[in-house]
Amino acid sequence: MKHDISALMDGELEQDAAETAIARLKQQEELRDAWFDYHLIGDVMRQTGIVSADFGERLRGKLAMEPVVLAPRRPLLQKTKIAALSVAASLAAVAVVAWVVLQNNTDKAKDNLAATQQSNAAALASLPRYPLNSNVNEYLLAHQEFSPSTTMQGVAPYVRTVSDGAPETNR
Amino acid sequence: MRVLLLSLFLAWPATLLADSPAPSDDVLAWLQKIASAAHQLNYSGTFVYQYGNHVETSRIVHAVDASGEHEKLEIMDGLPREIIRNNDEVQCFLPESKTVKVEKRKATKAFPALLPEYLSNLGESYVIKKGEQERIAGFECQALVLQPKDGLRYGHRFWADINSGLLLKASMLDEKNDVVEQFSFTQLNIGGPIDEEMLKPKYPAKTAGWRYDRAGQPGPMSTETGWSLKSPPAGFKKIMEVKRMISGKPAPISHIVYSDGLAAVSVFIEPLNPGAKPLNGLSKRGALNIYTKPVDEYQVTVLGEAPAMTVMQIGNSVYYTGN
Repeated sequence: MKHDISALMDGELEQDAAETAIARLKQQEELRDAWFDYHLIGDVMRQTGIVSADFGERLRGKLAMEPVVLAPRRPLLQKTKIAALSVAASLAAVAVVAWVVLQNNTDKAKDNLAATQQSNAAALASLPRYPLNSNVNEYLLAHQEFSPSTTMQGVAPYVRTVSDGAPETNR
Repeated sequence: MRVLLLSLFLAWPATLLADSPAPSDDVLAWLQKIASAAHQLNYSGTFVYQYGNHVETSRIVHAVDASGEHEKLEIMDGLPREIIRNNDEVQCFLPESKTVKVEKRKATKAFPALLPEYLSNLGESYVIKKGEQERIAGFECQALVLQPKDGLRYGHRFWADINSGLLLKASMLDEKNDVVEQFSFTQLNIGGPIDEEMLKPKYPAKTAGWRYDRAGQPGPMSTETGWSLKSPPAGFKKIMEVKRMISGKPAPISHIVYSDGLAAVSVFIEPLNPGAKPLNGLSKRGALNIYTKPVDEYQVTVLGEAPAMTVMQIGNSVYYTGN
């Protein structure tokens, strides 16, 4: 079932299968957790910034205060709209809405998608950035000592702990 | 697109598990040869380290004499840094803050992760095969392919010098076979004497104005921290557990390491400072994923060269055993 959720996120499910997946998402907390975990991981994969683990919860809070995000979806098929809206209401899953809009692919829908994305970005931008634990450099150093990569390559993997490409708290 | 990764991750063929033979003695011998070459040979050279779009060059010198192993790593790009290892002591020179961080390991079994018992465990989590022969930095190399059996760990490719066994190139690959991280020598000399001068720090760290930070010392190797995992990810076993001091922290920190023989994930547990806001989130540092979350009155930090899902699974499984 988790595979279906993943496919749903990918926009790979047919209409019927998507509706079934969305219905299951509504019913099963485990699947909703997976949904959020996958999004969280995806976000982290694409950017090296920090994403809070309770992102979904706070996004839901933001959405509750921003009816604009959920309002303009009139041109959609009635059935799809209800399914999408109810999921969004219970999950605050903007991406589901965006996906459903994409599937319908009308000009109006594109406008709506842009609006949704804008609100989404606004919600993200207003999230507090979590600082890394101030000891993360010490932790990296301590970790490296016990990493099997040190066994294979000697001191070379220590570049990980002092690489210039990441925030340095010692500066 | 990100979800494509996940569908691959989730659809990892279960059949792979069923028909995967145990790693042959030949490939296990290669891994042993790589591990011992890295610590028993004299060598000096330049290698490129890359992750994502980030590329940087470093110089490395390694020498073995009667007093043991001596090694120097100099980062050539960006912030200047030097790391010098003498046997169990690692010194990290940070010139802009004129600090030397010293990390000393208790003299225990030096490299637990590659003892034969762990090597044979590798076959539980990876399908290990010999690859092609390829030329790297002028040396004829044997490639080894370690394909993960599930999405809980990255894949690895090693290229080792056929004569000496020294690892000349190492890639870590995600589910899509994209490179997560790569080390690759561009120039290398193997064998021969190493000039002592090449192993010395270039910074006048013994002079006034420089500070040695020796706080990073493991305490007595107690094997009980009172913390454990409800359900470690498949294939990951505890390889180390210790209470230790960490620079900048007044109280000992619990440090537990889990490994599948190739990937390692560290769990750090520290008491929350009264009034401090607990950290809860996922971040990245190069190829390492870092997950932080509060557990009871403690801050848990989990980091390692494993996929974010694995690091989170470990973090969400941490609990206090009450001992």
